[in-house]
Amino acid sequence: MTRRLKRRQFLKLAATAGVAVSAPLVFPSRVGAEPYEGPCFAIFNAQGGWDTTMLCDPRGATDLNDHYDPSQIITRGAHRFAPTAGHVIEPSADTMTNEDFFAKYGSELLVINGIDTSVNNHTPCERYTATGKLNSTEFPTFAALVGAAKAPDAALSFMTFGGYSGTGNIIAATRVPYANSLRRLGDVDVRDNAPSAEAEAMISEALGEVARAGHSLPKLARARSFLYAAQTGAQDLSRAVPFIPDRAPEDNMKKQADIALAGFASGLAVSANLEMGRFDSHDSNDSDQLRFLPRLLSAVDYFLERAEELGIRDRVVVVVQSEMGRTPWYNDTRGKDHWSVNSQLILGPGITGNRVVGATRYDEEAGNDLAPETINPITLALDPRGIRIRPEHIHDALRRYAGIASHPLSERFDLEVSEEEQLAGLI
Amino acid sequence: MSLALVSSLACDGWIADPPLADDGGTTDTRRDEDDTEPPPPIDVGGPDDCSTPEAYFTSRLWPQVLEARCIRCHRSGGEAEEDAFALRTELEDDDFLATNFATVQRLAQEKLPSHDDRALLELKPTGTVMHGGGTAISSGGLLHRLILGFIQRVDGEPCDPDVEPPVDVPFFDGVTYASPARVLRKASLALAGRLPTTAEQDAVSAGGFEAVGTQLDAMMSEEGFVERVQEGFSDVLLTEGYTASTGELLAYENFPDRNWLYDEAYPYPVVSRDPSNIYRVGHDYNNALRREPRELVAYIVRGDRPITELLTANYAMVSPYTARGYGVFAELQDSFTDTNDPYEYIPTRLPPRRNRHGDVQESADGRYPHAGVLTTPQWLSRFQTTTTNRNRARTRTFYRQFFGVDLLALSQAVTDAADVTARFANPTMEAPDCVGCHRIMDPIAGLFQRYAAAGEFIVTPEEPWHTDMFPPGFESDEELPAEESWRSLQWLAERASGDPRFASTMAEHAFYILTQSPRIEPPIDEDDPLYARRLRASAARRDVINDAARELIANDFNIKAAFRSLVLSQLYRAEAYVGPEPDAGRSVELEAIGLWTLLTPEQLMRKFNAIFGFTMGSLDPFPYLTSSLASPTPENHYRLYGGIDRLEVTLRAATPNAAMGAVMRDVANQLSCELVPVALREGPGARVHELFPFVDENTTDEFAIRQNIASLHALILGRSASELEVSRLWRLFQEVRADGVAQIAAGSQRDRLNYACGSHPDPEYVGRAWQALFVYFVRHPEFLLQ
Repeated sequence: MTRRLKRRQFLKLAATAGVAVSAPLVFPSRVGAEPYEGPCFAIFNAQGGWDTTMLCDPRGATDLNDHYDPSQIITRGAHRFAPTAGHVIEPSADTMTNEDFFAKYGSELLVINGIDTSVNNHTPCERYTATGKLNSTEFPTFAALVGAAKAPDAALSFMTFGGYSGTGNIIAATRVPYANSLRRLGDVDVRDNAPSAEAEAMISEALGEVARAGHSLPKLARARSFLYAAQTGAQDLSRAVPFIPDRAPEDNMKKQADIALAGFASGLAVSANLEMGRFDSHDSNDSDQLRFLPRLLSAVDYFLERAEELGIRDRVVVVVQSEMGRTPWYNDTRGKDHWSVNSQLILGPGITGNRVVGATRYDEEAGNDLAPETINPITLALDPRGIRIRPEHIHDALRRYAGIASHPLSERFDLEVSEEEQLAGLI
Repeated sequence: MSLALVSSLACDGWIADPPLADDGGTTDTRRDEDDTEPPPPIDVGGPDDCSTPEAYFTSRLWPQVLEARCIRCHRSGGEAEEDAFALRTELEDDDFLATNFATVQRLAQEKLPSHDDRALLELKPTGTVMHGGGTAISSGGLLHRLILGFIQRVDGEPCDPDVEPPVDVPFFDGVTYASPARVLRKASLALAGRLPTTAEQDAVSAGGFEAVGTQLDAMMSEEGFVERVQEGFSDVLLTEGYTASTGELLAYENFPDRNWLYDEAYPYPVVSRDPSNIYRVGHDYNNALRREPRELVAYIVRGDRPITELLTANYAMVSPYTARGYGVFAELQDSFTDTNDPYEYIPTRLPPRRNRHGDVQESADGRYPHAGVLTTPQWLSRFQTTTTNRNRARTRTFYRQFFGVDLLALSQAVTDAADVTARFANPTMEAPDCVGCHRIMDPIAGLFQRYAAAGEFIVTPEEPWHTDMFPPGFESDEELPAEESWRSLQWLAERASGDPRFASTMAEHAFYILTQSPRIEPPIDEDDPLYARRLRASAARRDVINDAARELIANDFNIKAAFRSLVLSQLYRAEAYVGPEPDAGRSVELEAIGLWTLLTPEQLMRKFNAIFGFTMGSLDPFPYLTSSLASPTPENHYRLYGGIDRLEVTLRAATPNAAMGAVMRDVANQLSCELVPVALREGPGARVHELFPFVDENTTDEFAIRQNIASLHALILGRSASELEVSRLWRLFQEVRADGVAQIAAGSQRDRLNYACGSHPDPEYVGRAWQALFVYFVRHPEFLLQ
């Protein structure tokens, strides 16, 4: 039976049973709930479309990469990457070269190349990359889905700092722009304007009665449920405060990382969308990419180093992605436009590193470089009779890795990846 | 065919669950010839045994395929008009369904012998034969099968009557509505930022919903309404999110006086040249510039001017400060009441732009050709372009803000962009998958050609406009005549403001301002078994929007007419559902009913003011609710409560989260602290609205307390409490008080209020029990949601 059939059956059953499949499957927060212990997912988004040939899918060909040639491509273990040492624009403590990044993390890093996003515009590509579903606006991002499936009652279950953050109405997205804001919100209950703990408990209980009474209209029932969950979940925020560093970093994505890590370390968060913009390098591609890719890698490095310091390195999963790649040629202003072939970097506990799955090639018939190769879904090796890797395949693998593939929410937002196309050994 | 008929037919029958496709969902992107085989025979039955082609068209083909997918291009003036498949919208033609039926029937009858006599109506959208928009629907998918169902009926072929029961309930069946008084309160708070007066309430009690409209008309002449509409359009236009600071917004090339405040030789300084004053002047100048698009909205609304002037206003709003930056202060200074007031705005026509070489912009009437917000430095700087983007991003914004169309979303049917890009020398003009968007986007992009990256006007272009893109014009309707090129954006504005999409988009914006409910796109996943139900839900909202758009057009585009229509609509008045237990499909439909969204920080502030008589200034202790106008800086903590900075965060949070929950708690605590003790001690008349008309700080009488609970309930939540609710809250009062008294006796609490709340004596814990109830009310969903 294909997964598509299963989805239809689920929906039909739901219809027969009168189950409101559009109603929320969230419940008010349980104050003081057991901390969520992982895995925690940090999704680093390079917003705008990164140049994969400047990172993990190197070419060095004339008219494709100005700053290096094929002889300068670096191989380390299974990975091949573009050289950036000596080319980084405005190198600083907030930048990291490809050389340093792969040297430090290559042994645990999975690179996926040749991901076919089918389309090449920001809006659909962002949605597709984030949710694994191109032709629906209803689907939640993976980060939202895993948050709702793993710990819907955690106060900061799904955090977002930008980028496509659709929730599918299954969970609230929390947006805390500054660590100090979190610190300030964490002490609401102990301020002198607050009622006594006993009175607060009574007020909460009375409001809980209102929420539990629900409403005949699903949207209002959900709104009441979320509102109550937000107010009660707020009581847990103080647990994150001890994990906020005293000094905030300069780099914006590193600030996001600190807040996400405070959520993870306190057991209040399951997932976080982090975002760095300005990758849309239609003009002067190389200078833009060589300015921001090193910052992106540095932010990932900071996140992992801080996770180590907080003692949660063994339970964080990092996905580094962008919504699309860039053309295998320069335009008139030495920029590069949108390209529907992409890459991703993933690392985390239990994920075999030092691997590259998928590839791109020069397609003589079409005359284009960076065409996606097909792979055998079982062996993951290149296979001309295989399939193209698409975002739904990666999301399907992520769901199985996270242990939520059979969760009702995953069933409800079925990616419709047949068993034959599942990339079982990917993650 | 009338709209009423559309509505009744739409309810007459609905789509049966389509048969399952046998593919895995994902297809390779390159089609081969085998893919062009027609799908196997299918069940296309309707509510009755083979409904007529007309009924099938109305209930299925039109709403689910043509309106949902095709009309974006196949409309009058659309890029696909020339192929004789132009569809009409209900805003263009009262008889649009009959007109469209005739058009579509012709294509269903047109068979291609080269393709086994299959109809052009199915061969084109599936990309089996050349289609300007490429592959618009998947072969064998739901939409394809719906088209086949229509063709079968037109051909008179038999169909299978064995179908699932149709949906036969009217969309709003089982829905109950708020009373006129409640609708008045809701609309008054949402639009005027205040509670209805006693006189208004009396009028509505006597006159019902008709009186609601009358009272609303009066409210919409108030400054509170102007402020709310300004704020709402600020969310829509996002212009305040530009990154330039003070005079840097204005291109030096065009405006050499832009930094007048730092120029010691500038002849019209403000107040004094005291260096300590510069910071404040700079701050005001920055905000004054940033406010200009808002002030255009205000000028339109205050003067009952047509909202089309968002695009067509042949003037700009300037203040004494910004006039200095534009270099027109000398000629305007006598027009201002106070030349030192940064925020006194007047409409004016600016002179044509100049460059540093002294070249002057061509202008037939000697002034700058203003086109509403489109020609403002704020809009052009907020939505910048690049050399290779060629104003396409600006065009996308134009479509989204004024036509309600996301051009990027149109491209989701493209299936191998990389391959397409490589196969064509100029994909945007040649590849069917690209032409669909670019043919409507690029002509408008060309109209912006004189505006450089950040909005600077290019007085003397060094090179002619690009020839490898569709030439400047309005979609594919017409090219820009050479003699109009000096006023190209005015030319665009004239066409756009008369387009039905503009009216419906303005009505959609009004709906957002009224309810904070964002635009809902029709579903795109045709394989979703609930696709038809989702479509019906989005159509219900669309109908309300179109009604408002019609009112807008009928009232010379006065935006107030749209608000009036929306407030009185079923969608806005709907309050509950008392129908049969909904199944999955009905639940999806009910999602469109009920508009409760979280109050924005700005709205919450106004509600505090309206109900508790608090002024904005006194709410400074809540920095996360204070919207520092137009300063997208890290200090803007109001983002914590779902607000936006109109740059990085452009969508307000629709779902409350724990951080927002903490804000709710803190604000409720602080309000209870500041208001309750004072109101209890000062007695009746101390506040704009009496919180405690039946009790004081010593009252322990149950009857009086119950009376006051009911009074607070009505004041804060806007409706009478039931006996059960009063009893619950009386119990809460008692329990809090009993616990407090016990703690005082045990020495674990003081016999006074908290220090932050004034530390007044409270030996019987009466004050704190009322504080607890007050916190309950302010955190209640009926207070925080709208």
